[in-house]
Amino acid sequence: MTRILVVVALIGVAAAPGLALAPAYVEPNLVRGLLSGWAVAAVLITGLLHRRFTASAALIVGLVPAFAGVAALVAAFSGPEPRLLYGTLDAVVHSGARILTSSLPTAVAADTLALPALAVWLSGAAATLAVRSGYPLSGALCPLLALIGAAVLNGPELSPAYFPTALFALGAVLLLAASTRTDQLPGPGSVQATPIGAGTQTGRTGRFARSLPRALSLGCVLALVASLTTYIGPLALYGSPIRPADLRAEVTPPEEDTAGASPLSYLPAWAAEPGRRLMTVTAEEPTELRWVTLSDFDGVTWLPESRFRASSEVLPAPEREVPSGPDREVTIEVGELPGHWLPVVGVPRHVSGTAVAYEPASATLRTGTGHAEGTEYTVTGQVPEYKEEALKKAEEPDKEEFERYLQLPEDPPPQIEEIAAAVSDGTPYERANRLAAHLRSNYGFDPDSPGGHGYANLADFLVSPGTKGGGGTSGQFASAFALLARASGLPSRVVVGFGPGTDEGGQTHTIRTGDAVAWGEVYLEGVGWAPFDVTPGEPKQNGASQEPEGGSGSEGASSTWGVQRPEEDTGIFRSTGAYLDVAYAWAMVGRAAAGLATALVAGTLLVGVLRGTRRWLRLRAKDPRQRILGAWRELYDGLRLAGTAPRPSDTVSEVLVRSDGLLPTADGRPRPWTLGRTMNAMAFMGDGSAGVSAHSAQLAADEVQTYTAALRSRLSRPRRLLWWLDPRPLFWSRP
Amino acid sequence: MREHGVLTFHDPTREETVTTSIPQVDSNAGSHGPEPDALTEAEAVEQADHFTRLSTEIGSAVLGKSDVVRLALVALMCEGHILLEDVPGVGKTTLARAIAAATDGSWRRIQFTPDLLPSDVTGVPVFNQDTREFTFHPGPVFSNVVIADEINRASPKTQAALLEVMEERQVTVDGERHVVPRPFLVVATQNPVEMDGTYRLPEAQLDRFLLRLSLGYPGPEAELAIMRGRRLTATDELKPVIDAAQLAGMSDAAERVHIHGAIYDYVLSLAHATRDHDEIQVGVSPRATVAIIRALRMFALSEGRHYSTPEDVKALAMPVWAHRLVLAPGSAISGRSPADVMRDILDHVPTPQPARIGDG
Repeated sequence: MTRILVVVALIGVAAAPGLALAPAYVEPNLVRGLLSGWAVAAVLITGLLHRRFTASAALIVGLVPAFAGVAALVAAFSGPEPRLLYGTLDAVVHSGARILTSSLPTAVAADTLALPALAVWLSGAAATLAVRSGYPLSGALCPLLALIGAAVLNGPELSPAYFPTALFALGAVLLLAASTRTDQLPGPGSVQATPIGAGTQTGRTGRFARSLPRALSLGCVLALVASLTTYIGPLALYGSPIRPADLRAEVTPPEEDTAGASPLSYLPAWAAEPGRRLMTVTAEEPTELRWVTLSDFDGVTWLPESRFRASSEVLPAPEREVPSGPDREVTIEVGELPGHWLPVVGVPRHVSGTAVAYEPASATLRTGTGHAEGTEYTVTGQVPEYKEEALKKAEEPDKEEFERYLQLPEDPPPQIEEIAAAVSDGTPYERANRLAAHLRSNYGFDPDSPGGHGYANLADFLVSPGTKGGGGTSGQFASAFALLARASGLPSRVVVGFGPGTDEGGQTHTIRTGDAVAWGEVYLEGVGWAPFDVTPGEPKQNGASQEPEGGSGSEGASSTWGVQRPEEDTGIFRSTGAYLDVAYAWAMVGRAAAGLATALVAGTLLVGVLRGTRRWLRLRAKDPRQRILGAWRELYDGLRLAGTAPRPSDTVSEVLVRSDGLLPTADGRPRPWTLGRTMNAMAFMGDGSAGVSAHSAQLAADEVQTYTAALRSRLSRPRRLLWWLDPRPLFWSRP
Repeated sequence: MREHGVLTFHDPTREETVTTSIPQVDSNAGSHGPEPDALTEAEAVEQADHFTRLSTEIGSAVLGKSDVVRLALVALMCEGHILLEDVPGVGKTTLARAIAAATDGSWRRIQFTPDLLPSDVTGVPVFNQDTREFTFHPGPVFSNVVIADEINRASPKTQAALLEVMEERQVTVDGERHVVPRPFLVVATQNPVEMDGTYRLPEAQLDRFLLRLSLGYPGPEAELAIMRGRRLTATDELKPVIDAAQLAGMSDAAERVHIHGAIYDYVLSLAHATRDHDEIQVGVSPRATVAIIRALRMFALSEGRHYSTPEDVKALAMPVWAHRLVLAPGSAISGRSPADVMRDILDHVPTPQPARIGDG
């Protein structure tokens, strides 16, 4: 029985780290099941191996099933390397890096599961071996380290792992309690306390029965303490600058080679040949698509993002504020789209159908591997809606924070400074609007323009304010707008996207090269990134679909790029920014306290009822022998409650002398205890059947009742109340 | 010579010939067989009545010491010897004489001095002019109760002579065995204060005393009564209240007192505790465990019980065992007495719990 308890406690302790890590995955329940299975297997298999091998050998031999388990994971959830052997090696070697460079929540794949699974296995195996070698405390240590590792890996994004921590604490307590050697009772000096021959009669069950109440009460106390610290502890952190470090933020994803891959450079060619089909979009209503966001300009070209994190279907929350707006879902079947970027709708929150990587600052999505061509996927995004009042009220953001979006390479064309100087007053929104208006009204759209959006091209393209310029493609206008905005102190970037395309019926739209368009975005404090349409000309002419228009007067801010705080997407992410929801935490504490109080009251009443019933059964037993034994046990309990527990070396008469000493009679003489005679006679007379008269049994019960009542009445009022509600007598071993 | 049923008391002071025949009590006891019938409660009460009469009679001479008197009587009934250890003047000799007188037995007193010879104790062969033969002239040990006063003053040789008689219950002179009368009880007294010029009894010989008792000072009431001259009954005036047949009956009844298995276990674990105790060099011997069981039976009977209890063990462990313990050098130097250690052991070894036994 104790052995089973130890195994259960071990499994609980070993499974806790896996349970704590599971919420970081896309399918937490699947991961919970998987890692718990690993914990169970680790404990059981290591236990079996330890019967045959030494501890260290068992640990090493146990690696064989562990690696077999990783191979099974590869077979079940293949990662980037589908072949079994290489896949297993890849999973084991690269698991840590893959986990750290993928955004939360992590996708369920062999390579993201291998490290947690092996950690669970090793800590479980080490715990089992330590406990079996007689070091239960060390046994709890390894899973504790794994639990801490899980907490660090989860970082601040996930809610604290209350349940696994409580489970770990409970398991550790059980482990310690069950491993306590109960036969090592404290002996006085070197005196051998066990009566010869008496020890073997009680046997294992007796020892367990004696140690169970102790272990239970110990467990209750420690579990209470553990859960209180687990639940209330985080509250202490609230308001302090301490915030768990995000391990993923410390890891830089590998940089990709982006040279010669600027999507802006496709636009001139596409504008010249607008009829090529790029992709087919299925959506309930015509939807504009974002493709690539370009934030860095090197004087020649705008560079796309180079660091993406592997991502699961659920995409991380955007880093910057986004205005509210509805969610849209579109299914895209990519045709001959170059590059590896995938068009999305609004600020993407969920994507399915293909493995992806994501860059949250620019909300750019790319395929997990290779090229976008031929990919079919469904993406859900939030489309922000911009409100005029909010835009007008918007202020200039902190320059240091947006330094990246304000950088201008050296030696810009002089026209840029010139034009920027002309719009240098007014709110940021007004300035951006004036810049957009300048571009839209003074230039024309020319699909046959040579393209190019570097300084050299812009120097030819831009004209001084007040004069009419030539024609260009949307890439040039967007680039010019972004650079002008930067020159006038507004953080800006360039976005390449697509118009809604041609309706093919049945909610299907074909997007062709002519639908591609670039625009500029300016960051407005209090609103977020606001798009400005800067390409002049009639959409019909160039084949581009209806570009979002704010009208030339209140231009800019296309009304549909709506993003706002995403709704509670999965419930996993706390997007409020606060590490801990204090109101929620206090509510939990309040609920827990109320629950505890209720449990306490109910438990106290239960104790009272149980003790009253037991007393009644003891003192009213039909069999005189049982009644005398009952009276004796009541007397014993009474003495213990009064704080003077008889010693194991006390004989019957010594116990009675003790009772008299505790509560002397009026004349100082010892009481004429019937118990003293009957107890010894019953026990040691030899002929066990010797009857004890019902009369003497009644006498004994009466005298004990009188005595305990007198003993109780001498106590203070609270202790008198506690006399009947004290649960300890229920757990005391019977004398 | 008076005949009392099965037992003959000899009184050498009345110049009677000492018989060398083995008393009948032995053969009688042997006829009971190994499995005596269990004692009934009624029998136990009847035997306890003898005890009460004896202790009342002795109590009239030794005031206020009923517990010591009871223990002394237990030793008498078990034919176990007593070592009385106490300061002078508290009534050691009185107690010994009272026991002898009340049981209708002969008693002799030997004052041990450094020049006392073994033959002064055991007796010598004397040349008889009439028969022209050597006749054995019995010494003072040939009586039912021998009071050996200040036994530690005599030379070890003389002590050994007495202790040998105590063990063998016979004197061998010139190859002739002379059996001492039954019952045979030696009450040795010892003064623990004046240790100058004394010979301590060796540990091995202490083992031959069943009990070591200490009278202690009388209680205030008893001492006042003594001072007021309300003189106690002189030991000479004590009337025999019990005869030899009744004594034999008691030792027969004691054989049939029930001792529960748990009591045996308890005695055994106490014995083991003395043997394993750090402060004790030599624990109690098997002879001592047998002795305490013998005393237990009689002690229970003295209270009118036909079974013994853990209380009996606790009451007897000190007088029966304490003087047999040899302390380790360290604890002896630190001032601990064997009685302290024995009390320590009694306080820590768990007793058989009557509720557990009664329940199951």
